[in-house]
Amino acid sequence: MRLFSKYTKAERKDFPFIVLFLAFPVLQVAVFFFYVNFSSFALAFQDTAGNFTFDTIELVLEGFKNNKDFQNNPLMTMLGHSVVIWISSNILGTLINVFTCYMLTKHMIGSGFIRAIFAIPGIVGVVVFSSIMKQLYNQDGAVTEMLINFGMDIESVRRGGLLTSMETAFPTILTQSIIFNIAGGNMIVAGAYMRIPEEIFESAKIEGCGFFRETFQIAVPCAWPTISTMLTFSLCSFFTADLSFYLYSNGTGSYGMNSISFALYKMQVTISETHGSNKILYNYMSALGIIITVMTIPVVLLGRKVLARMNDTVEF
Amino acid sequence: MEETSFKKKLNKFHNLPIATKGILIFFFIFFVVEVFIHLYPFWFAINNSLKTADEIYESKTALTQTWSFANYISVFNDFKIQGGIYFETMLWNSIWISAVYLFVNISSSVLVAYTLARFRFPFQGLLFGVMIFTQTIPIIGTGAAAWKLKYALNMINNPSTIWVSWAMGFDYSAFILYGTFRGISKSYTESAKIDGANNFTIFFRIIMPMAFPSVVALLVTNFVGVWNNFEISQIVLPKYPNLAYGLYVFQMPAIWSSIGENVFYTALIVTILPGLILYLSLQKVIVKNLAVGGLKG
Repeated sequence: MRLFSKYTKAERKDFPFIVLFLAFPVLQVAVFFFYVNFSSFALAFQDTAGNFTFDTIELVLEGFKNNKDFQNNPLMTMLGHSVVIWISSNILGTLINVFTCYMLTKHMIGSGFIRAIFAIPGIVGVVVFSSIMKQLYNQDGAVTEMLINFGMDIESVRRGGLLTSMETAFPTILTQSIIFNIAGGNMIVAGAYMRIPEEIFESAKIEGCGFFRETFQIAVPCAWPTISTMLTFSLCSFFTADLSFYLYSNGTGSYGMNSISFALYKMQVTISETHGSNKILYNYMSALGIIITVMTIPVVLLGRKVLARMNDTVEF
Repeated sequence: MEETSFKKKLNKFHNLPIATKGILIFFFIFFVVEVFIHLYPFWFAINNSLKTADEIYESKTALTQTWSFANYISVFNDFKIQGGIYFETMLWNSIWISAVYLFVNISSSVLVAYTLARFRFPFQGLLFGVMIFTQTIPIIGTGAAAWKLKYALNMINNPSTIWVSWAMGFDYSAFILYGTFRGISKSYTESAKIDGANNFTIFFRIIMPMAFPSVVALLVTNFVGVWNNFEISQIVLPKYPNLAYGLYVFQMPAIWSSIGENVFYTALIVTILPGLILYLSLQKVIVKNLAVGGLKG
């Protein structure tokens, strides 16, 4: 009863309504989030018969050491690809996007129209977008032809396009993800810039504030809570969000078009296609997930701490 | 809140120092190049969707000569994947999967966000922590355990049960809606209570209408996500392929070579139309209502 004593009579009257509203979502998150995570953790320390073992974890670590997992995928290379994509596209890309988004929202004519165009790749989705881009990267595709005209001289590119060469496949996807990420079309950040009262900028101008001071000492700090939240989400996208390698390589991961998220998704597809009969995949995928999570969490927590330190004033 | 107008921006530009003008011109060129890069792939797809198969074979980059709008009708007869599944079946699967997913997911998020934002109750802090935790701590590789659970609960290939797994209320949408509900003054609730309104009346007739723009913004952004989601069909509902999965499978060499490439481009364009129309027509609602983190003051 002591649990309820700090609530007023009126607040206690609301409890049945609150229970009614929260019962299903709480049960759902308990089963599909917490139980799944617990189960995944347990699977990582089990063999196919369900006995406790460290063998699967050791198998994954061995895979990192030899750059070859139990299905002969280059595990260390995939990890490298994930880190490169994450740093360049997600972190640096988001930071550049914060700046270009400000330029677009506050200083460019037709910014609403331009932002709508920048949103198109996100709206059409990764399948449609990669399907079109693959055609542009083919041996007779516009991008390949342009690069050959600019002097790219790689035989396999001439024969099969940019996605059929170890030298060009990964850099092509990396470059594409950077180019499409830095454009400045982030609607949430744009909304934050638009909500900054115009009077702040006008007062700054009267006091002789220049262009860069306006951007970095007024606009970005004012919108910082929103920006830091977006950066936190970017931090968390480490290894989780990117399925483009799967789509660009038609699920094969060939010519270096692979990453940790590719490997995890590929395993999940195999589990689904074999109706779960390949039991070792449950354990291996969970063990790989645990190891990657352990690597990721310190980075994410440190990043969040740094971002939180820059975000300690009032909101309006 | 209003975006700086065209005229105001132009006037501002004229009064700027030369160096600042130079920076702005540099960025203007940057944005023009980015616009071209963003538009070209879609122009390419639209252009090829209006060609005959022979025309595509001759050149994919040349402007269409035939303007074959008939492709947009024939796609319903010609676009098919393994198992004889036609475009209209995949379209129907995309529609019902998106509708069910959005309904259960957003409803659940509304319930969580509303109670956390508007009431005081035991374990509130814990549940708020759960909402933050699910979004900010990445736990990777749980797909195998999730699939195993869904298989055990008979959810694989089962539309009558799979919706339960989509009803995640402690998610990004709840995070956004929490801000919206917190932003609505408590005086509305208090006045309604004085007038004798119960919690259901307050929720459905006072608060939800005020939060409606945010819900619409979330519906649109989440619609785009689920409409284009091919993992749902590939992993949990393989017997119910949606358009996104159909487009992926269509590119496998065996199918690709047997059906005209123009049909593929037409299918691409038809697939993206609903999301594109919804998103672009409601862009202002989305920008105004999807706020996270607030501003410093």
